[in-house]
Amino acid sequence: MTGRELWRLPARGLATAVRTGECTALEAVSAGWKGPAALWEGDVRAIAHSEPEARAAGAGAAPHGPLAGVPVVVKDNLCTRDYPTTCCSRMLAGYQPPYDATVVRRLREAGGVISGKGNMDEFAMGSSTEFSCYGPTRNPYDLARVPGGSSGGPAAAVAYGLAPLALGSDTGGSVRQPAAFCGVIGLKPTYGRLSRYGLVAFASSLDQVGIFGRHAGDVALLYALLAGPDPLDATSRPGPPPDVSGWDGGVEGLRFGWPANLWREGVDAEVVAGLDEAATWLERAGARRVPFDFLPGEYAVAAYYLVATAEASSNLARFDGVRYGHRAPESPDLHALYTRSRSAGFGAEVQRRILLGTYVLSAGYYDEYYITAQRARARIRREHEAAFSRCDLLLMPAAPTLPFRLGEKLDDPLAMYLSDIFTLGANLAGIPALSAPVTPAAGGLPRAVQMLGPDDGEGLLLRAARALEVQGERARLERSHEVEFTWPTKR
Amino acid sequence: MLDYAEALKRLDLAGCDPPSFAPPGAPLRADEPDGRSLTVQQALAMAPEVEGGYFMVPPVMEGQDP
Amino acid sequence: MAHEAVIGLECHIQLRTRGKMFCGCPAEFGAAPDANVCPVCLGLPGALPRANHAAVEAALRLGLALGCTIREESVFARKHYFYPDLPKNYQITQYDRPLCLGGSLPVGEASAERRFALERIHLEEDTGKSSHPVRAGDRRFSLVDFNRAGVPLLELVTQPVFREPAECAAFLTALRRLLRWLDVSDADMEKGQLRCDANVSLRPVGVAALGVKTELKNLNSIRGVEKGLAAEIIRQLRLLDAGSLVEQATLLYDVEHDRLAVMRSKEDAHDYRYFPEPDLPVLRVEGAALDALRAGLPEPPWARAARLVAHCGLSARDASVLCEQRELADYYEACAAVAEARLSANWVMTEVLRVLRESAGSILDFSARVPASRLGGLVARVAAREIPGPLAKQVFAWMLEEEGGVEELLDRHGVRAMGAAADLRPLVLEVLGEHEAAVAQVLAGNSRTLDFLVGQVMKKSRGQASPQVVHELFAAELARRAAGAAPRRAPGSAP
Repeated sequence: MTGRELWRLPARGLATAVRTGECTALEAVSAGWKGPAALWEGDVRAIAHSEPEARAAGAGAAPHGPLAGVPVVVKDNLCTRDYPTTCCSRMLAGYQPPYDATVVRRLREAGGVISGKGNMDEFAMGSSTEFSCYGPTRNPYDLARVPGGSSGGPAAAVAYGLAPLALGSDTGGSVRQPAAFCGVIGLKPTYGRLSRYGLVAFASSLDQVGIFGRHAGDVALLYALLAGPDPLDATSRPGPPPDVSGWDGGVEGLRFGWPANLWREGVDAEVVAGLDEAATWLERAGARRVPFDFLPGEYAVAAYYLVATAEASSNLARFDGVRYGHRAPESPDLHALYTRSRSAGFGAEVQRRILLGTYVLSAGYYDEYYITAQRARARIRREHEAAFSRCDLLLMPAAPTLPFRLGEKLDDPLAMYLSDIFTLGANLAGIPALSAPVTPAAGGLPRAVQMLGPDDGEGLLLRAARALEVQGERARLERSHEVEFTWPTKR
Repeated sequence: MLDYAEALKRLDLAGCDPPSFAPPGAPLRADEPDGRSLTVQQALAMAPEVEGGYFMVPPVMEGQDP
Repeated sequence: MAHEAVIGLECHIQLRTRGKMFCGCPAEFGAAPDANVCPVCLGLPGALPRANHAAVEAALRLGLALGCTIREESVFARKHYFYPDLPKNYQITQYDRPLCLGGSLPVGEASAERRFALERIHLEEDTGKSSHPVRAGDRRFSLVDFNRAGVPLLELVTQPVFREPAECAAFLTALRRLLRWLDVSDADMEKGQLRCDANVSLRPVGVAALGVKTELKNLNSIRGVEKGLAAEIIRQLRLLDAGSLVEQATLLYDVEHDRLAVMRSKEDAHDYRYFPEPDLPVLRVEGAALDALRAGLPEPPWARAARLVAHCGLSARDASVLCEQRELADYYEACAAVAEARLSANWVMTEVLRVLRESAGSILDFSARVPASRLGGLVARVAAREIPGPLAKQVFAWMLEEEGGVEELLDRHGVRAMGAAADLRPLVLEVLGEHEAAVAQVLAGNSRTLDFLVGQVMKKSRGQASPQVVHELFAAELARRAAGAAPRRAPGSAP
């Protein structure tokens, strides 16, 4: 089997090839670098750090397990002992952690190999991957456009074929939105189902590790391998995680909520067309549409930005140049050390959010902003719970637009924040949600829809994602469960 | 952004208590080693400035400690 | 105008757990710098805290012993400030929903007992240690060690119920005793295991409103607390007498030079931006678990001392001395179980404590050499007057070095305990026979001569006789003669 074909395989097929000896783990990992990366990485810049030696070492340790030899791109805010972990920030330039994140450890135990660290918006704050200290990642389907953010690097890497799977993080949509923009599946689990130990914290009560893949079956496989309680993370949910082995079980009789009020205004026609398409496909597969109005996303935006920036300002306080990270040289006293190191280390967007968050928590404003936002959050969760008494899954856009152009939203932070308007709700409510691609828009730009599920509804979400794969007539069964993927083409 | 915060007040928040998103019953940890300890070398490896096992910082005057 | 002082204390107690509050690193004292750290207590990116069950248990035991209200649900919070010994630049503590509320600590002996009211007790993590500035060449810097970062602490805040520095000293002494009693903390102030800050203000006597308070820090010993408070009260009095106002401030006290120094004034007050710790769930205390803890608590020292007074007839003072340490009280009661209570008390307080002082050893070490039952056996013989006091002390000294029961020890050293009247009467009669003139003097009322006669018996017995028994025998025999009976003769003596 030549390298050219290996990188096209889904993760399950690749692992089988390695386990049966059809190819070595090293060949499996290198295929994406030899083929697609050679073609795309120069332009796309999905990867912040990678090393042939580290890849080879990883491959050497990994010919066994359900993910034997499968390369996985890991977002640069997940701790890896064999690669730097910089969150694409000058503040952590050169920082290499002495430990692996729990999800990274479980990935390796299953045979997975880290192919590289994915580029991202600095400290996961952004929706376009334009705020990386290494420069932006570009969307492989249109190099003038963004791949989404903050996990733009992992999403793009999966889209152009560097690896069949990637790990990202999703605090307000940072997996689902780039997945939508890059035409891949992006899953944010139920809060607490994937350990946060080793995920550099942005907003502790909202962050979750998320999974990118080109095939629902691959995402299900990786989820099952990584999910489960972690003694090192007190917020991880006790008890066994939901069983997703029935991901190919179809959606006969499943009810999906149709909150059309959400896209009556402010959503691109192309995106709405994608929703219509998805709804049609689900109905063809035997699901039933249940129309009702749902709480508009504006409330979620406000609650999210108050809670997230407050928690972020606190989580980022530890970056001070004392024990690690950037230290401004020759600081005469402590005050200078802190202010100079942090001003130099953090980019403008991060500084903006830290300032806002500090304000939200400050005496005199705490009750008005932070407490109110947390109460609004409880209300938002109740709204979601109420919706799930009427349907099994909620269908809605992943983003209000198709992938936008690089630079388009840089001057308007509010516009950037509002691009998360459909994804924030799931983080606030702690429920699982997933982006799944439908047919590309005219012009070839990826297009996707988002589905939300109740607590521990990952199984349902993956079944629906699979149904969309099948119904979208992209399923041409080769070697069972294989699916055609719409690869980007170089122009 | 703070204008958006005003919008929140229009939401009816009666009976909504701030949630604790950590699940109930996550048990307390037993008082034993948890396999995470670092060697001194590992602890100091990423430090900008060290001196004989310690982290070095500009002078710390007593009185800044609240 | 007469003023009274109003003082409140804020104590930080290092817990005696094996591990730190939020990670598994050892909480031990004295390790090489940065040898006991991990990603969590070093504040590395991505690390998360997990609360230590043993620390929570220790906090609950203290709260129960002090009669606090224990919250079923308490919340950890983040307290933010930038400082090099604070790895995350926030401390995980408890703010508006602490674990324990209220409660009080009894201080003083029985009838003089007072209860000092507490406000709250909560759990938090300790910081690392930063050194004073050091100079090397033309560089000045400080060194930071994170071994102590994350060690579990209890913060105990009293109500402002103290009126005099001496009361604070007594409170801290009692608190230290209780902490050790419950195995919650070793509470050694020199090692920083018990730290105390004090808030003090003055107000005119009879006025309810509180005056402006200052905060005293760096009080490293109980003596330091007492002297520091005294100095600050004087300072405030002088200001008020001169017609000035007291300003809010934080002061350090230097006990060596009896000097106060202003650390900073309140303009620098921090906004700590407290909010609930999102990485930790609400701390839930189950009723059943609490009941089990309560049932397993040892009798508190004040109750034990009261019981010793009531059941063993000890004085309040003696009971208090014996209840300084739980192991000592245990030792005493085990000894008193086999020997007379008050005599056991004397022996433990004088002989045993003397040995402990001289050898700087612990009661546990001591009881390995001389178990309470062994000492009790000796004391019982003294109580029964079979062994005279001085001889018993000798036997005790032998017990420290050698194995064996009382009889064995006496045999080994070729000594007889002569306490039985039958053994001693012949000696008494012998002496009476040899000192007829003295007898006449005693009968005439000269008690010093009686002592001389007793001394003679002691000489004859080489100190092995029991003086009380000898006394009694003399008294009996002399009474007989005074009543006109014929002198009894010692067996084998000439008529």
